[in-house]
Amino acid sequence: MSDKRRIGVYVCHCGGNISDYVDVEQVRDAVKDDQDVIISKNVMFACSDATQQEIIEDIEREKLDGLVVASCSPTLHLQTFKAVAQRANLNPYQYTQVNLREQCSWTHRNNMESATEKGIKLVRAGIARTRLTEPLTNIRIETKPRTLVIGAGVAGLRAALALADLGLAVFVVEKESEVGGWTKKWGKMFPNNRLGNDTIEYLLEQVKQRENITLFTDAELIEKGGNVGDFSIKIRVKEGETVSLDVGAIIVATGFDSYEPFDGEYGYGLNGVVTLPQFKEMVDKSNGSLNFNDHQVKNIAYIYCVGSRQPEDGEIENPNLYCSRYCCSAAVHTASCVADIDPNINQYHLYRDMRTYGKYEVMFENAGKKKSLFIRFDDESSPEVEVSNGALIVKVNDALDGGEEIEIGADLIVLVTGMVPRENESLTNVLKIPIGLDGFYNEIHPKLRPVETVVDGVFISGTSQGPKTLAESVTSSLSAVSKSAALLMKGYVDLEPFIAEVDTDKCVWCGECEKSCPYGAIEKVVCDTKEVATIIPALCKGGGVCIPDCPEDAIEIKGYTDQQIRSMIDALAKEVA
Amino acid sequence: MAKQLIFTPNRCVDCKNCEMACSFVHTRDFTKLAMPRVQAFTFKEDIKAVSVCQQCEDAPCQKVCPTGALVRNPATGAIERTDSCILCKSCTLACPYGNIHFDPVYDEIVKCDFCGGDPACAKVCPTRALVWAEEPAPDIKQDAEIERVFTEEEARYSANRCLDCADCSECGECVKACPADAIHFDMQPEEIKIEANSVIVSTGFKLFDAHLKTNYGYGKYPNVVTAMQMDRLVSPTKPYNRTMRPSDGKAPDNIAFVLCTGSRDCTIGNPLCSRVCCMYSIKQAQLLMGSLPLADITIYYIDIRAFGKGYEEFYQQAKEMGVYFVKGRVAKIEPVEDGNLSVFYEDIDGGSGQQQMEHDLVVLSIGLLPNMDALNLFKNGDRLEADAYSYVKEINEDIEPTRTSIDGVFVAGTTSAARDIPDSILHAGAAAAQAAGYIHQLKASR
Ligand SMILES: Cc1cc2nc3c(=O)[nH]c(=O)nc-3n(C[C@H](O)[C@H](O)[C@H](O)COP(=O)(O)OP(=O)(O)OC[C@H]3O[C@@H](n4cnc5c(N)ncnc54)[C@H](O)[C@@H]3O)c2cc1C
Ligand SMILES: Cc1cc2nc3c(=O)[nH]c(=O)nc-3n(C[C@H](O)[C@H](O)[C@H](O)COP(=O)(O)OP(=O)(O)OC[C@H]3O[C@@H](n4cnc5c(N)ncnc54)[C@H](O)[C@@H]3O)c2cc1C
Ligand code: SF4
Ligand code: SF4
Repeated sequence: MSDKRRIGVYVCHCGGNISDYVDVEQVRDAVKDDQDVIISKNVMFACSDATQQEIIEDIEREKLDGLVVASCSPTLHLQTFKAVAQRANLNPYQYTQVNLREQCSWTHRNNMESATEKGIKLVRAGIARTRLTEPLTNIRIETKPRTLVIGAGVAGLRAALALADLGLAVFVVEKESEVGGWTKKWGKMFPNNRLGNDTIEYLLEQVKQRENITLFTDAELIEKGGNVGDFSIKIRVKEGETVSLDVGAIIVATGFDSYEPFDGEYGYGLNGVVTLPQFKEMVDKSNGSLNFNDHQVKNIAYIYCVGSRQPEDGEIENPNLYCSRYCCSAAVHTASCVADIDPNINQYHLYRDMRTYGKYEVMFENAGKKKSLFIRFDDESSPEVEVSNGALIVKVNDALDGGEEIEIGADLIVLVTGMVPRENESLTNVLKIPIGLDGFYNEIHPKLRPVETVVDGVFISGTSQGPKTLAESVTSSLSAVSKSAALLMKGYVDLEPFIAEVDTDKCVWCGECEKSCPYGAIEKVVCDTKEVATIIPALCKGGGVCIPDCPEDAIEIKGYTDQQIRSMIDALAKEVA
Repeated sequence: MAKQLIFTPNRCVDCKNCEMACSFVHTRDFTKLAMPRVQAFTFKEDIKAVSVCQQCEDAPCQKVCPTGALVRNPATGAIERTDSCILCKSCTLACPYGNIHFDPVYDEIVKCDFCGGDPACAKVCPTRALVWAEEPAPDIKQDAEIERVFTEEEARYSANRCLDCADCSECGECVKACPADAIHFDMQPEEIKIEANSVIVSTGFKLFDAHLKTNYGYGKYPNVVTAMQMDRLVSPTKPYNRTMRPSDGKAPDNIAFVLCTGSRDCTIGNPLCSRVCCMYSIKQAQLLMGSLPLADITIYYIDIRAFGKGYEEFYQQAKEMGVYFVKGRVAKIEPVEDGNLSVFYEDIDGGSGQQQMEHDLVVLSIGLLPNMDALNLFKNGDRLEADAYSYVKEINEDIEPTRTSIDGVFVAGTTSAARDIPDSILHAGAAAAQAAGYIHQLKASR
């Protein structure tokens, strides 16, 4: 603290938002003679162009080396004022924003005196931190113009094509021996009746035509190191061989699994009780008539929501609470295909809510016109499947008819099974990306950052993120292409420098910090024959969980050092004179 | 000897008890917003005063009223506003004391009516600055003798001439006051030519016009509102900072949502489901439960389409919070007493046929329709191909989503189908990838 600093402090009115409840002039007066404060001003709107210009001129004229703006939340304007500092050739990390609005004026509207006192303390804490700032530089990383796509279902294949068409090299890793995922299995698919297999054949053909796509089948990602823009990865390919690659971004497109009913769930296990995927394959393969056990099928009952929207009443362990989105549409579409094969088949749909959303509504209507009968059951009274005289029967309380119990004899009972997350534990561990409550990979924000994960440079797409139809899977994978291409085509990434730093004199390498870091950002290195911890800059998020775990107190976060935090606490605790 | 409101200035302490009592008696509400008929204030720092209607003998308000809506009550001597008021507001301008007001919250003219002969303000005045006491009755003219300044027609004409100068009269003071120099009065429309290799059309959707569903009475009954209006009433920056129903500003306590208004309905020509209305209604229901914890909320639905990530969980949460979900298509809505509404619905689950339920506010969860302007955006004869429902067609939606019938033109969001925000964002991301790929290929082929 001995070095003299030159700090400018701007206390904003926010056009009354702050000044109506906090005496901003008193705040300014209180700090104007504080140590190292060269300029202190009240401004009407700190964020206005005119004031920004004024601050820039002040910084240049007074050769300020620290800036404090006491205004609104940093969420709103931190970047604004960092840019102001930068434009005035002041290192942006020597700027501190004090939140005088959300954390002071708006929360204390009834007591100006105390609010003002708190405001003074907050500003003093900001000044204290600024006094101890040093110029920091962003961590700039050159990106590798290559993307790894994991999973070669429809989402993965389409993403690979789009990336290749942007001039980026792509490596696709598929763990099965064939590409195409679930789509490859399907015949006619809603809403356009194109064959799933045709779609995959077409995409695969396109992939083969592109030199910058390398496809590995029977392969798996087994290691990931490095960081956003520059990952070093290891892939296990056939016969225990491995391949090492450097890529700039990773797109996860590992898809879903179909729910497997437990034994006895709606009669599963009985002859004639099948899941939707099994049934769809039967329908896709049949021509002329639909047969089962060498008999022509006359009556079909569908039971919806099997494995989805399960109640939380404790009967099912870890119930799937979510709706699987695709299955209502897939079931009514399949029913239409059945009617096209044999219009005399009676089809009974036992559903809870018909979720043929958007334009899919038309398929629901069409199925109704083609001898499908819809029977709604309540969440509380599920249908029951029984065998009576060697024939299958479903009993259901028809909610559309006042809950009257009806019995339906059926040759086939189709369990409309939902989507579940794929078991992919080892991949999840390698990538270190989070899964949500529903078990699917989790995005950062469904609206703002729907394909990004907390691991920078790792994107999620298709049904690996949650249930989707084919078109929706492709849409989301193209969205992931946008994000990864934008990252790689810029050529570099800048990372904030608020990362951990190890004092190698104090460090004795006990390994505690390595254990605590959720991002794998700490490694052991040998430094002058001494084993110490080192931080991998691009992986460190500056979360600071390692700091309290270090018994030697050898780690600090740049920009938020212990000394800075202590000085802020001291300033907050000090009585306002 | 009729009683009068007599005010003694040097006793008044500007405590505003009179205002609050007045508000409460007239509107059952204590907030200032209820526009008291009596106003206490302080001027020149130390002069405390109360301003209340003088019930003038030769009242300018009465004179100016074109419909004779201001009528003196012979029992109390107060001039009262009656139902024939057409809200022309002439009286508010005519009153020399500013004692008659237009209340924007309740949408009516308010003035002192002596509370029917027992003024609440005088009763609560702690310093006896306002008292209700006898004085020689003034010589009250009969209403019939009042000569009118305006005919009704003239008054309506005058009211319509109003330029809303309270909003902006272009005086230019704001230009001087704005420190950021953000206000310009001399801006002119400009045409800018941009050459682009690719275009993304993201012109969005149109809302269903609730008037078209005539049996729901939107536009006829003030307490039938659309969800678009409700979104405003539940937003953090809602007007007057509270949720109220339009007819009388009362906080509603029994609210109904009518799902699928203008969707899944061939009678108005839209067979499609709008995808977003189930969820936004549930969102609004949850927000209402927060702002009006005692209100009953009923959602009339055909199917609850909670299909997105986390949506089913959100739906179940609303049920647990106590939102009633009733499966039934609403046939018609009719007015009953006090601005309340009777909702007639087909009780699908109960199986008991036509049912009827009373609510004090009904929200129509209106659907999304295509914005057909998008089809004709391109001038040189290139019309974007439409799908069967007049949305911009994605010519190969499965593997080339966002691509349209015109090379290099892509769509994003609700331009090609109803979508909620997460789906619109993903779609926009895909459009960006498609446009970038298209441009990259175009440049490579040159
Ligand atoms: C019965 C049924 C009927 C359907 N009908 C339709 C329809 O008519 N219309 C429609 O639009 N949609 C339909 N769908 C949905 C459609 O199948 C999916 O939207 C689509 O398959 C999702 O594609 P994806 O690429 O996300 O996932 P997937 O198809 O699951 O592909 C994922 C790929 O990743 C691979 N993979 C997984 N883990 C790894 C790993 N660790 N390493 C490497 N590779 C891995 C898998 O082997 C697979 O090849 C239907 C679904 C079902 C179940
Ligand atoms: C009452 C209501 C509540 C909702 N609540 C939610 C919710 O809680 N969560 C959710 O996810 N979704 C919600 N939605 C859905 C959400 O509004 C849409 O998903 C979203 O607005 C779609 O975005 P968009 O960009 O496609 O279209 P729009 O929002 O319609 O945007 C289109 C834009 O294009 C402009 N435009 C139109 N024509 C032209 C032209 N010729 N030239 C230039 N510009 C033009 C328009 O002015 C507009 O700004 C709600 C919808 C409604 C009606
Ligand atoms: S899409 Fe339909 S069948 Fe599937 S879980 Fe949702 S409601 Fe049930
Ligand atoms: S989203 Fe819900 S309310 Fe809207 S049209 Fe579809 S089913 Fe009706």
